[in-house]
Amino acid sequence: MGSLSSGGCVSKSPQKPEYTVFFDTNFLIYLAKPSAPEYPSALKYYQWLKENNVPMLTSVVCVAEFAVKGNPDVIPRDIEVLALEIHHAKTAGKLASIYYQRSKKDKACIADDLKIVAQAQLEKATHLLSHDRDMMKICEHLKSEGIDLPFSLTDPITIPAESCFGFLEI
Amino acid sequence: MDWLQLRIDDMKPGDLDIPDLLEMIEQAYALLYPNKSAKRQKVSLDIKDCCVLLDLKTDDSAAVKNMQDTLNAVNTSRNLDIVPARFKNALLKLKEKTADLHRPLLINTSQGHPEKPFFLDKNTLLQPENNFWFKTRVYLYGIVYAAGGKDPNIHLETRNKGKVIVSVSYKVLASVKTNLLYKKIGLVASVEQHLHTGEVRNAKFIEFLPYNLDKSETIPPETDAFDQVVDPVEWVRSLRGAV
Repeated sequence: MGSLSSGGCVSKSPQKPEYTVFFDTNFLIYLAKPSAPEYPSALKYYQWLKENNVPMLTSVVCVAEFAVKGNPDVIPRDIEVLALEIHHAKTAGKLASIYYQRSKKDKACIADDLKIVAQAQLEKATHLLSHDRDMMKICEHLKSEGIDLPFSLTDPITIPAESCFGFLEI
Repeated sequence: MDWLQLRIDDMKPGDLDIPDLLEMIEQAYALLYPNKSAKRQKVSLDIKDCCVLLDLKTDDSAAVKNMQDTLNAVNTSRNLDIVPARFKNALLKLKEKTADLHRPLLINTSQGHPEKPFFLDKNTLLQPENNFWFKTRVYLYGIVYAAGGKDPNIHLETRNKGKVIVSVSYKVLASVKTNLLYKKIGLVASVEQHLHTGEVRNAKFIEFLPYNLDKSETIPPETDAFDQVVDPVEWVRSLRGAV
């Protein structure tokens, strides 16, 4: 990792953030790809979250996927990249065991989805931003098995930021 | 009347020294009443000579049921953190005793399965709390409330792990060009982390993360690396596997 950047100054009495938002890989790609039709929606989310000091998280798993084609240096530096920690790994394994009990799919698949879900769950994210319908299926399946997922899986492309967080565009 | 039994096969009470017997009785009593302030009823003892069989009898069905439920929970989870401290200590002491005597110990109650006593020997996997701490590396993000001191460290108030004190060398702190106080920073630390809670302790600084809350950068950097990727969702799905 590089050296310490200048670091953002924190206001004297920081307000407790109401939201914590977790980015899936596709969101990170939209954010780095101005030619994509989804870019304006992603950018609006990012700017509103930044402006409102909302903690923005992503996973090393997403960074690894991003790095297959892109240079992760372009991922904004105010996003907290989370390592896959020991309790994340334990929960991901538990989710996998629940998911695979009913799913007939190849067990090698979706392991990364479940790591991301475990991290978003344990980090108490309020929103997981992903345009991926399969991620939606996975979360719905886990919920149907009684898993409490605290976050709302939000499609940042079909649900505009202003609708998601209830702000008025000026 | 309810009962709980501690049994050691292939051994007679006469083979045991008095302190061993007393300790086993004491620990059996602690299993029954792990909460010191709980209201207790009389517990009587019978020592049978067929093997070492300590037979504790009581009318306190609730206490015996609690004990059996706790033994079942330990059997399932192998996690001693979930049981009362005295219960945990009693099990660990009885486990030590099995090592001294070179014999397993069988624990059962009138509310347990008659054929399935709780089995305890020196190899029984009862992990004391320390065994849930793993050495690992984590990324810590938080606001710096103190940095420096004779034994230099950084006090970080994190979003998800509370206050974490990270020990760091003089050299690192001396080389930081900006004042860290009240800034939100990210760093990599080697820590001991709890498997269940994610709590960290004994954090040692490794390096700073390139984390920056500069408000002026409202447009994230772009890349042409994904120009050939028509549908990022499909592309990522091709890496992860289909659902």
